[in-house]
Amino acid sequence: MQPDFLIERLQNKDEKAFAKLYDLYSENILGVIMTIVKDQNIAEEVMQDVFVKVWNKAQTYNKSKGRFFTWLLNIARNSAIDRVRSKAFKNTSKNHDIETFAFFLQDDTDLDKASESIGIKKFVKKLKPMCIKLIQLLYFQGFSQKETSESLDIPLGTVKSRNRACLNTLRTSLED
Amino acid sequence: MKPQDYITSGLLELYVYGVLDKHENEQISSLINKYPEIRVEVEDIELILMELSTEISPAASPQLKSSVLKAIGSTEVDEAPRTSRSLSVFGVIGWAASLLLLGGILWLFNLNSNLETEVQVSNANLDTLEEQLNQKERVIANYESTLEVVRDKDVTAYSLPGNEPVAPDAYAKAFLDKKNNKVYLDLAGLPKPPKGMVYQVWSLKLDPLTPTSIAVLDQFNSDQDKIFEISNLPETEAFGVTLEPEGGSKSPTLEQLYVLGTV
Repeated sequence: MQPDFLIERLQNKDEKAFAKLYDLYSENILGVIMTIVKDQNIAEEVMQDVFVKVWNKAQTYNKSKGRFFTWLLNIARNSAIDRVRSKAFKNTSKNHDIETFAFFLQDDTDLDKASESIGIKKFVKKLKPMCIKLIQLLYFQGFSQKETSESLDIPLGTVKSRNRACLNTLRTSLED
Repeated sequence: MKPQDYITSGLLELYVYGVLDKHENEQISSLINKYPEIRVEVEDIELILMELSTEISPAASPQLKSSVLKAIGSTEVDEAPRTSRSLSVFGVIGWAASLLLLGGILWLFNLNSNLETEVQVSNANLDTLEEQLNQKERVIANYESTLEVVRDKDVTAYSLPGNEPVAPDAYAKAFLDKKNNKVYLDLAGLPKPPKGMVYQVWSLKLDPLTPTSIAVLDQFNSDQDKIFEISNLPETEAFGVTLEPEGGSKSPTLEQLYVLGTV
């Protein structure tokens, strides 16, 4: 289910494989970056940095230690967070009021996608506010269980089970 | 913990997020290799996460991919527009090829049924030719047997001239095989009998004149060579052929005597 063949070719500096992996992952990586930087122009700059890192550091990915998606996700989150923490970002950003990814799934944000995304949007709407916060911190911001527990003021032991229940709500949107 | 316990624990979700500590991460990695059901669950989680972030993603600027490719120093140009065009070209070629193939199949089908028809016609012709050949062979065999009769040293040929008042142009020949007490009458020189009439062959003793019917030739018209074989002859001094009503007569109608000849 992950394109191991392309990944191996990427690790051998195959530009065509890189271009194909870009096609496979760039859209959702841009989504991840958006939830952190909240500005499309900045998100695209960050994404370019991310994929340059993917190209340069491809050898460090080890299939037996994790998913390629997770590896990409880590690079994307770290790059985006670095950007958010930079001085330049703090001076230019206008979207401080956006708190979670749910903002980007409001009905009026992207009319082009409205028809395709009815399924998952509908299920995001069903999510409790706590679920949105959990997914925001764990998935999009890469918080540890401990950081999440402290940030949301919930018991450490309930973080992973609550998060699973939240994701299961979304998964029914795929199964339908 | 059993595989199912790992699946329901919520650890696999955190594994895909990449937020587990190093030890837990290694543990799940080895479980994925060991248990297919865990790997499937991890892939399902990954799928929904990718779906979610893809939904969030704005449409990237068209030049972003080219810019990324340029940034890694790639000589590859952004293939996206060309890919879609070449795909459509392949699509057109594909459709064209399909149509050609379909046309070819129909053409072959048509050709095949035409050939089948031709084969059937040829077979029918062959049957006809075989039948004609058989017929010719029968005719030749007939001629050969006739020739054998004519050549036979025991067979004597006699002429049966036409009866002047009735049929001056008629004639017949008798090939008498005394040894086997048989006669072959060649009646090709007789006219076609009128409808409702048949030729009747008589064996005659002359003193006193005693006719004995030896054959009623009701198949005269359909006989090919007009040579008639008559066996078990009585004592014969002359042969005569008269025209009689269908079915023949008990005694010859001398007014309709066509040929007569002594042997």
